Amino acid sequence: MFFLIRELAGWVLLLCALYLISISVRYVGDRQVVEAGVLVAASLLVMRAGMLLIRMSMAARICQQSEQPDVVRGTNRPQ
Amino acid sequence: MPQTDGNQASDPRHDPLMLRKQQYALTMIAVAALLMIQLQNPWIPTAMRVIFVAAVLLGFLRWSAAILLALIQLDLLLGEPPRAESAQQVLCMVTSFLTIVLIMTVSRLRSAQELTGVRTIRQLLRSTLFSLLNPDPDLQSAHDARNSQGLVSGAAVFRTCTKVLILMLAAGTLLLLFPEDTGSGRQLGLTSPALRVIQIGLVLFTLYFACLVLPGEFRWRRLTRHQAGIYLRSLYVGWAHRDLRMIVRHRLRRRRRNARLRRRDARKNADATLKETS
Repeated sequence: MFFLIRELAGWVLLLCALYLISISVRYVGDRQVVEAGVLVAASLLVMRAGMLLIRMSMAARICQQSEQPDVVRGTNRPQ
Repeated sequence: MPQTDGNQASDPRHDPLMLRKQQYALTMIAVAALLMIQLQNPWIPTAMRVIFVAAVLLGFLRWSAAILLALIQLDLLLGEPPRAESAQQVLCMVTSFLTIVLIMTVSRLRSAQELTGVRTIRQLLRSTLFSLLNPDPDLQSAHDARNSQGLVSGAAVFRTCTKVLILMLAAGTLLLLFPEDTGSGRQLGLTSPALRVIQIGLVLFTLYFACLVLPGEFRWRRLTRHQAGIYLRSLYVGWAHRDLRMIVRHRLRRRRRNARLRRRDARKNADATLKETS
């Protein structure tokens, strides 16, 4: 359950980053380039944090689930 | 444009070296045309021209498509005319076409570099001279056959034209979605086309994110336990790296000090036994 909450938090952070980018597009439309640049930098940081949360919670969940023998997962390598 | 698959590398009929030479020739033509256009543009500052020429010439050494893309973005930001007349619009279209050709050729050059193992122009010239001095009859006949058929097959030309058309359609759609701001005045030295480039760049970044990162995140769900364990361990070790380094250094220092003390004691004992025996 805790992993799920963490993963949801990661997706929420990703959506926040996209929202920030949309705001920065609007800023550029209003000729406010510096503000847009600051927002894009912030959105990149938020995006990175969200991706880290998702990946970490997913890996932790896989590690925990594999201790239960009835769980079947794919064996493809990630790219 | 010719294809460079892994299966074709082992086939002597598709000589990667010849392919590389053709791509170099195409790239040289595109770069020369771009340079001529840039040098003739009256609205581009001299410093910008010098930077452009230097960066393109540097690109010959390593051929990084990312550098070229950044350069072209910079060129669009600073060099685009505020209000283009009809002749300048044609020039802009030619520049765009040459840019697309350049980027496509440079990305192809990467695969050709991996196939041939030839990284620089000097290595390419050396291998060309070597092949001229020691001609391989199989490759020579393959070259003759290909020369009789033309350098590029019709299917490859069709594929390339389709790709360029798709790119142009996508670019046209984006340009329609984000019309140019006709308001007068400049801010931060940027013209309205430059602002439009930034706006479209942000939208493209979002699309890139959606098309590339999101599937990657979903693919992440198919990790095995071993892979997930390695990732978690590396992550936690990365977080605790400073503390771990401090602990290990402290232990090493203590071990060195103990060893030094032990050596000193041993030397004292040895001296004492020598004095006793003497």
